[in-house]
Amino acid sequence: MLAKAENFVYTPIRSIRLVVDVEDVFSPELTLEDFLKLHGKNPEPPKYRILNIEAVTCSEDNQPILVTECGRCPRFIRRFNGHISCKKILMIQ
Amino acid sequence: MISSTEEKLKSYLMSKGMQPLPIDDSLETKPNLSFQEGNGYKVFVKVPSREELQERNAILNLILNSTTFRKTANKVYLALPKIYASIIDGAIIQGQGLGLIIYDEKIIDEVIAPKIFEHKDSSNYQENLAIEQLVSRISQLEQTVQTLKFEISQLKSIRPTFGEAAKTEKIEKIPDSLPSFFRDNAWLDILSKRGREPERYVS
Repeated sequence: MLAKAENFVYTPIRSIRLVVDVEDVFSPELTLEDFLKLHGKNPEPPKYRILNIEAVTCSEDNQPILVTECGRCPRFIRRFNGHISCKKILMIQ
Repeated sequence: MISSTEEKLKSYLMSKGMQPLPIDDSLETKPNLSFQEGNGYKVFVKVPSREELQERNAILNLILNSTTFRKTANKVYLALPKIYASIIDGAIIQGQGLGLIIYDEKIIDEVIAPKIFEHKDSSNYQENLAIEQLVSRISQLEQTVQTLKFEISQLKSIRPTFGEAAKTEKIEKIPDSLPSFFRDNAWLDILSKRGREPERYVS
């Protein structure tokens, strides 16, 4: 017999800062740390822009998703202290 | 759109035992919904419109505006579409003492409980004032008792004991100018102790 139980999952949010070259579309996107290592200087505008990408691993399918995508999920509860709180349905035999 | 959301929120909060209240026109910034709980707490709910949320830093602005409700309401809720709840960290909202209600087409849920803000009404204020006055008077009395205790202990240390008094008297020399019956007179020693020793009652 299967029984459903609800559990709460707290997934940490990973924040990735990406440097994008807006003048050269073929230049690779680098993280801010990699950019500093490679170029040895800060990414200065207007050539470079820094994007902040917040991603989490979905507790249901373990796929990386954007934090804003969590807002569309029926299991999502709240974002709190750098974590995403969501419901996880457990199947108990 | 906003009115239907407000209606949904209204029925959700009424299902939690709250009674709707008319919104006070004298308020500078008005909430979208106003309720009263069974225990008399006033609850304000701020529901931002889509236009308000489209602006940059809109949520931050909304939180700051909602904090002004704390002066009049006992509980303040911010009602946000679910997708916006994933953008802003709930810790910021909780830090300001606000509650958070999230909603979408299907659900409405309270995800952060608000802090209760107690407001001093006149009767409570008078009572508190009287208690404060009593407390200050008691502390003054305690200070007086302490100084009195200290003075008594000092006086006790100053008062000579019988042994010491006897010693000092023995050291005293009887001047030569006194008559001869003063020398080696046992009565002088007895009489000098008069008034210092405890009274003895003879039945």
